[in-house]
This record gives sequence, C-alpha cells and structure tokens, in this order.
Amino acid sequence: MYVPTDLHGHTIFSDGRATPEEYVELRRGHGFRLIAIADHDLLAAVPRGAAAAARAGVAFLPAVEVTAFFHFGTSLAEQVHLLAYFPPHVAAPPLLRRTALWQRGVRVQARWRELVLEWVAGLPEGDRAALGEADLVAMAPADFPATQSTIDRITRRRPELFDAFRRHHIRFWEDDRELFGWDPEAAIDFIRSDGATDVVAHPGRYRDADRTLAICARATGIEVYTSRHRGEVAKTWRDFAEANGKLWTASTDDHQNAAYARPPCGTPVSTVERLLGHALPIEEILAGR
Amino acid sequence: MIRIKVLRVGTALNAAAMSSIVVAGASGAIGCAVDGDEESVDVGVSEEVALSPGSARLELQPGGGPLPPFAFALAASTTDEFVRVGEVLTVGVPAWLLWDALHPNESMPDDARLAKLRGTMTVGFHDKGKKTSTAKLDIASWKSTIYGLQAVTKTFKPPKSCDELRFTLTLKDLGDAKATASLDESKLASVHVFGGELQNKTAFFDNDSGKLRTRIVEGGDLHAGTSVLLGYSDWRADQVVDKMQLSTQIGTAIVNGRFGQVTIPIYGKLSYEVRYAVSYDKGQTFSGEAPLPANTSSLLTGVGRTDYETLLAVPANAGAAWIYFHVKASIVADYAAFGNVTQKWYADGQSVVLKDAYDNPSGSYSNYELVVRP
Repeated sequence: MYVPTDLHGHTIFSDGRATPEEYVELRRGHGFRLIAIADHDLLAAVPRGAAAAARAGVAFLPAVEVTAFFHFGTSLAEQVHLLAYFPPHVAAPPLLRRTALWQRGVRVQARWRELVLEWVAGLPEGDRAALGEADLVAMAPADFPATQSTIDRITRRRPELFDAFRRHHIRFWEDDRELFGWDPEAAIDFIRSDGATDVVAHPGRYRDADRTLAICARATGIEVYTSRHRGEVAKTWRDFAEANGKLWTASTDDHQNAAYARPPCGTPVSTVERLLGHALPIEEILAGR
Repeated sequence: MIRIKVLRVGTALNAAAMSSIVVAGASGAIGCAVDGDEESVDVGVSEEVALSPGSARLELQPGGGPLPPFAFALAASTTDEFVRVGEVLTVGVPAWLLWDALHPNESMPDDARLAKLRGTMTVGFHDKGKKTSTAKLDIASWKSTIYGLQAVTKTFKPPKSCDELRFTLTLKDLGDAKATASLDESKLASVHVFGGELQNKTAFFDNDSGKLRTRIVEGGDLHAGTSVLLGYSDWRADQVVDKMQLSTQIGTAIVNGRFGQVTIPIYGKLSYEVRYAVSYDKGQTFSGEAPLPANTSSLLTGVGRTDYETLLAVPANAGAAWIYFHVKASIVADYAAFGNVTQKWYADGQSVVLKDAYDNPSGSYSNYELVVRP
C-alpha cells in the first residue's frame, strides 16, 4: 500500500520559485496526502508550509535538504544531499527553533547574506546602487533574499552581472568547511541526533558510485522516485532499498523550473509510518482527514 | 413523507443537516454521500429537525501566514468543521506551547515537569462584535497524545445569540513561581460560531474527499421571510471544472537559475466566475443568473481560500429554493512578470475561458432543492 506523497521540493526560501502556500496548494490539487518542503539547509519555509497544509487538510512533514560533501576541498569534491524529516508536530515554531538543524539554518542564512553583501560591495558604485545595496544591508538574515530571489534580483536589475554572480555563489558551499565541509556520515549522525529521519536524496545523481552505495547502506532511507531519476534508475534504487530493508520515498525535487510531474508511485505505508513517528489509521490519510 | 438516508447521532453529519438537501424532482434518497453509520428513516416534510450541535475540542496550534500566531483547529468533532451555539467544547493546548510561553529560551523538559504548568483560558462570548459574557476555564486534565502532553480545559458551550468566541490565556508554573505569561486576544485567533442568528441560516456548497457536499450549516431547513448566506467554495469549483486537467500554461520564458539559464513554462493565474440562479416556486420562474462575489475572508472557508457567496432574502411565500450554479474557469495572459518571454500563446492581457461548467445535482436542468418552511 502506497500513500500519494511529494516529500522533496523547494520554495523561495532556497532555490525554488514558489511560496510555501503555492507549493502546498499545487500538491493539494494533485491529491497528495503527505507532503514536505525540503529547502536547502534551512527550515525557514516550514511554519508557513505547515500552516497552509493544515488549512488544506494535507499532512505535512518538516524537512530540510542538508548539504554534505564527498571529498570536500579536493578536485573530486561533489555535493551529497541528505533529507532530514521531523515528525509533524515539530513544525510548531517553538519546537522547530529548538532543533539543531533549525539553528544551523539560521547560520546558513547569515552566511548567505554575508556572501552576497561581500560580492555586492566589490562592484562599481553604479551596480551597487542598481542592486539596492542599502536595502540589502538593512535586511536581517531571515528576511534576506535566498538563492533564487537573489538571482532574480540581479537578473531584473543588472542582468549582465548574472554570470559573474553565478560563478561567485558556488563558493558559498565549496569554501565553507564549517557549514558544509562534512561528509555524509557526519551529516546522517547529526540528523539522527536531532530527532529526525535521514534519507539520501537522489542517489543516482552522484559521481562516486562506491561512496554512494556506502552512504545508502548506512542511511535510514533512500529517495527512489524523483525528477532526477529516470525510470530504470529509480527501479535500481528501489530494488536496493527493498533488498536492504531501507525506507524509500517518492518525491519530485521540484524547483518550479519545469512543468510539474507527479512521482509515478507513492511512498510505502511502512515508510510513512516511520516518518510520522507512529502507526497510522492509514485510511484517514488516504481519505484526506 | 419522504424517505431519506440519515446518519445516526454522533457521526459526521446529522439528519437535520441532510434533510433539507434533496434533489429537485427526485423521489427517493438524497445524494449527499458521507461516511458514517447510515440508516433509512421517514421524515415528515413539515417536520423541523433541530440540529444537535454535538461536541468537539478546540486545539490550539500555530497559526502561520496572515493568522495570529496561534489558531484553533477543531478536533474530535461529532459534527463537522464548524462550531455551533450549544456545542459542548473543550480547549486543548499542547504542553510545549505553555512551556514556550513561560520559558522561551529553555529546552523542553520531561512530561512530569510539564505537568506542573497551569493555565486559565478565558473565553469571551460575542454577539455582533459586542462581548455578552465570559467563561473562565482552568486546565482540567492532561491528555497524552502521540506527540506529547496536551492540557485540556473543562467544558463550555457558546450561548444563544453568540456568533464569535475570543480567547485570552494566562499561565503560571507550579515549578517556578516567578514564571508567568499571558497570551491576549491578538495572539489567539477568534472562532466563529454558527447558529447565533436563527432563523437566518447558511447554505454551504463545498466538497469533501472528492464528493460534492451541501449543508445547511445551522441544521434544519430554511425559513420563509429570513435571510440565507449562500456559499460556494473554491475547492468545489476546482472539482466542478476538474481543475487539475486544465492547462494554465500561457507560454515559455528563459529564466536564470543556479545552474544557468533554463526555459520554463509560464502559467496564468486561474480564476473563477461563479454564478447562480434561484427559483422559489419550484422552477416556474427562475431569477436570471447572478454572480456570487468572491470573499477571501469568508467564515466558511477561512484564511487563504475563497468562498463565493451572497445573501439571499427568502420570500415570505416560498416553499422551496431551487438552485443551480454556473462556473467559468479563466486565465489572463499576463506576461509582465516574466522578463524574457520566448513564447506567447495568447495576446497580452487576453482573458481565456478554459472551462465553462454547470453544477447541477443530476445533470442538465436539474437543481439543488433547499426546503423552505413557513
């Protein structure tokens, strides 16, 4: 038995284009019974997403896509993403902000703001004014434009600077050993110690196949269905998950950069129950109650 | 007498809520399907069946978005999602919320420590904006839930003529005499109460789990010479036009993203025009189709949604109200928000009707019938 889900997608709080409310509404229309917003490295969209989901009658998991690295700081460096899923009640802000992943997200927002302001400060006077430097400086980290919103701002106001910013912004991950220079094993341990469930995001995307297999063997769950996996790739990872007793999920990794396509399958009830933290009257989720 | 299917007392809907919804021209069972324990009973057409307001728990939870910081969700309701005059209510407050208000910078303690928290919820009963009485509700018990302790107050009932509940919460901690806190009305969303202005009523056309649903929210039937709020929900319109099958794409644009330039589909915003027509003489004469104005702060659908609604004056000589709805789903091709449009499928500003559908209970030329009593 499978539950219609989309447990991985992005909003304006990272590199997506949808507000949390738009994100939830699209998935309500598609009839999903359990959804999650999983922005990169922060949980800032969760309170709004959870409130919108509650109004829509859709179950909602607080989630975040944690960035780690294989071979950080070397020529073989590549990002590895771990999804962390909290049980639903953690969406309440007083509980959410007590999690270590929330607090890490606050540091990520502050670091992003620093990176953008440093880059803007190095531009000629006219470009700085055009990008609204004074306004940006006045913004608190939590209100500062996230990745896609920053790119949109540059594109709208100084499109000729886009390529330069795109080259610059990669440093955000590659230069910051404190926030991102951990290996996936450390990230998994961190997620677990915070009370969340770890799931390897889009395992078919990584270049280092041996390390990927090792991480998937260690992780609690694997993202099987995602827009980044072709059908045969998804099947390979589903077989791996089932052979190794792993949870597995069905999601989209939607960034609102293409027409939305539902995952071809739902998430097993056993995985949903584990993510929710309790056994379900599954009929209630399927009925949308 | 007519035979209808009703739900036994204590299930999701009651006989009164359903008795007034019959398919015009149909001779048998009504068509409003809900889950529950059904039985067939005979109901005299002239018999008014009072709505049992039932019971429920108002659970405090984070509001989010435009709501106050905390709002109430209705849990364990024996009726539906609405609160009514006379309903037996308790308030449930998660222990973490109490703790956070009293000790905002401290980590969550164990349940034994949480159970030392105390609180009093004061409920103000309002009628048309004016407070008419109050009730003070101490935390009466602790309920263990899947996700932690919940404080539950003693019960109360919204009195006759009440149309709104407003709340304040004062807190103290038996484990720390210095810790006190309060949440005033601005922090706690108010709750609308239906049935405070009888015999005026609310006829609500919405959907539930993919099934069209019609209710007289206050129960019973409409009354001649009164007013009726006629509501039609956005999600019902979604279903009637089969929204997810409509393509709202208006073209493509090139946008910049983390990984460079990408061509994305661009979409128009879907909007509805909902119209209705009503007859009070069993179809001999119909009003012309009239618009149901969009209300984005409706008491029926709540924050973030749209209800299409109007106030009907039921004539003094009416015996029934026959109603049908007409829904048009449109998009406007607005390309202004996209800087680098590569394909325009429509002219700038063009309005395009994607679906034009009628909402009749049994196909063309059938009508929803709301029974009207003298």
